[in-house]
Amino acid sequence: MLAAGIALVSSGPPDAAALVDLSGPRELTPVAPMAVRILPVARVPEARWGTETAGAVLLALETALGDVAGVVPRIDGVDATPGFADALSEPGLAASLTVTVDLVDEALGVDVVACDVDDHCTAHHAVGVRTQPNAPVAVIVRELAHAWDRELSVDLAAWAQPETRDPYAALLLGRAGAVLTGLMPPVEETARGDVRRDPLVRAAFLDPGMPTGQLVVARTATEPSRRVESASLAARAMPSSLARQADLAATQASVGQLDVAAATWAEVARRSPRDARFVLPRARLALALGDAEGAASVVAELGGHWDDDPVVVAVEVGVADAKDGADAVLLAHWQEVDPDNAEPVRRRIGRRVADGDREGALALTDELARRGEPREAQRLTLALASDLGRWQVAAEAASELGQPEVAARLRAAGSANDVDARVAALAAATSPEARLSHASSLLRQGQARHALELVQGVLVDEPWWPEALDVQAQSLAALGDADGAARARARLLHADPLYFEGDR
Amino acid sequence: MKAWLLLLALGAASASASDDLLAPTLEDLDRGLARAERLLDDADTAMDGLATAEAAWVTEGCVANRCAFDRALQLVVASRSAGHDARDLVQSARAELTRVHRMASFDAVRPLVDTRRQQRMERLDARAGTVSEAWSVRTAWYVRFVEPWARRNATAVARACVPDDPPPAVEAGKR
Repeated sequence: MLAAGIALVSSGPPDAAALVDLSGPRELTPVAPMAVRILPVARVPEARWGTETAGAVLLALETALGDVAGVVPRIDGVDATPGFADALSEPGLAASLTVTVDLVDEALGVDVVACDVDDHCTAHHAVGVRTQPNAPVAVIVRELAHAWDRELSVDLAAWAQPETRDPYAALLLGRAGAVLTGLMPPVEETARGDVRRDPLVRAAFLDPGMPTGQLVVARTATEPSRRVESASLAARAMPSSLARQADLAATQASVGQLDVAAATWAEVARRSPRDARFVLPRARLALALGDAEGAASVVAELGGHWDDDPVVVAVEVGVADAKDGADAVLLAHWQEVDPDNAEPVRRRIGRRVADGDREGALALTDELARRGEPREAQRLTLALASDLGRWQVAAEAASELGQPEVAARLRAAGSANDVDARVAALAAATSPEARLSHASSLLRQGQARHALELVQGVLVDEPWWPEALDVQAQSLAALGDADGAARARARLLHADPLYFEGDR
Repeated sequence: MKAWLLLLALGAASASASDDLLAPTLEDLDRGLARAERLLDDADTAMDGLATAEAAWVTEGCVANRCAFDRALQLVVASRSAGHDARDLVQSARAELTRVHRMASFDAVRPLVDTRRQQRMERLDARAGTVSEAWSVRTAWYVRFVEPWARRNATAVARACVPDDPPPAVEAGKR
């Protein structure tokens, strides 16, 4: 024992013979997915290229851990590799890794302390040389897999070999890892993608055969075709790696190569059946392909185990939408399990509106505001209150949204039986609809001349507006101009021959 | 039959159409969509009637002056009636769709317009465009192949055709 709570598992140089434990792709037994968080390097070696070496070790650790059954690796503060971006992990089943890298001249020492959620920790140590960081990392990953009682889906012996014979490419791969993990400053925007200046792409440019170098490009390149090409090269360089297959599938899907992605995901699913890590991207892809039944059967692989996971419930909603539409119960469950997300509330409001339950929809607007969408909540309050005939509430919402014209129209609508109040409410209105209604109200008040002036102003902008022509005809008739009224009526019937018919 | 007679059963016009646009609701929008849909359904049927009459004009030899006078007269009357009705129906459908768009853009309605309604509006817009174009094509055909016969027999045609109703009289304050 090194210290309280930490068990030393092993140390020493990598034993090549012991690493030859897999010969190629194999099928994995389903296992509960576990999030493994790789913490920032505790101490960066002060030796020359120490930072690059630390970057290389972190990258190696992340890429190798992806091939431990059920493990969802993620370097703290860095987006996961594409295949694991949407990976599920079992609540309460997680580990964190604290990594220490020592470098003396070319001698490399890697220490990893792995702790579970109960703070039970094991310490792992391996040594190697600076230009071959995969070898000691392979030893440690093998130990971790053993400690966690999980299979490996990669030929670790092959993986432990140097990725390149070019020491400069190896150094730049470490630099790419250092930039990606924040050990070195990010690439300047003007240098992004420049193979001469951008370390994220330079390593793969120098030696395209490096799978980890290609993986860095696959997760950072801006051009979609470049991402797919690199993910493909990474997967081909490591044919036994399930993680690289998953990265490729996710990258293909992200650039819209849906059919190809489906075939790649199918291969992943064949090799690792019912692997919960990959259920969400597979289900989303099936949805994107319009295969609602396929998506439903993929989600069913979870066996209801993640029914309280908001992301899983969101996908279940997507599946339901693709079939008959998500019902009120499912949407309510989504709102419950995702307490800060506005989308479930938005969807429930939409569902209630579709079901004709305006009162119920209005009752949810406060919750939408609480979830960070106060303006949208106000807009919906305006609309729903108006729809329910609560003109004052709707007008207040319009005023709070800075829409005085809309507020005036709503107040005027609320005074349908009080023509004087309506005229007053619309006196300053500027929209064509409000001016037309103002004219109509003036006509009802007996102010035909004023009404005519107003409606003729409206007709300047919209000369074939049937309702305006109707008010014009009525105003002219009230003023005794029968010919003018008949002409206006004729124009009206030209614009809308059945204006006086039907159920408007 | 006059097109609007087909629609009389649908109910009387509201008392204050201009007020309907002041603060429309989703219900108003749905009613407008339903009306536009019915108008276009009727327009489609009228267009079918026009097409049937024009096809008979060819198949029965009227285009070469080889059909009986009474049959030719009947087809002219049918073509004119169907053509007029189709024109009125599609024009009113377009006017109704303009109203619908006006309602849908109102701030108290816009947030409630879901994808289904949006798609319904787009479908109806497309249908109105299609019927308009079809009407133009059919009318051009009528003018070229039927109207010459109708002009030659103008008196008989005038006697056979039902004259258009005059527009309703304008009374102040009343629709």
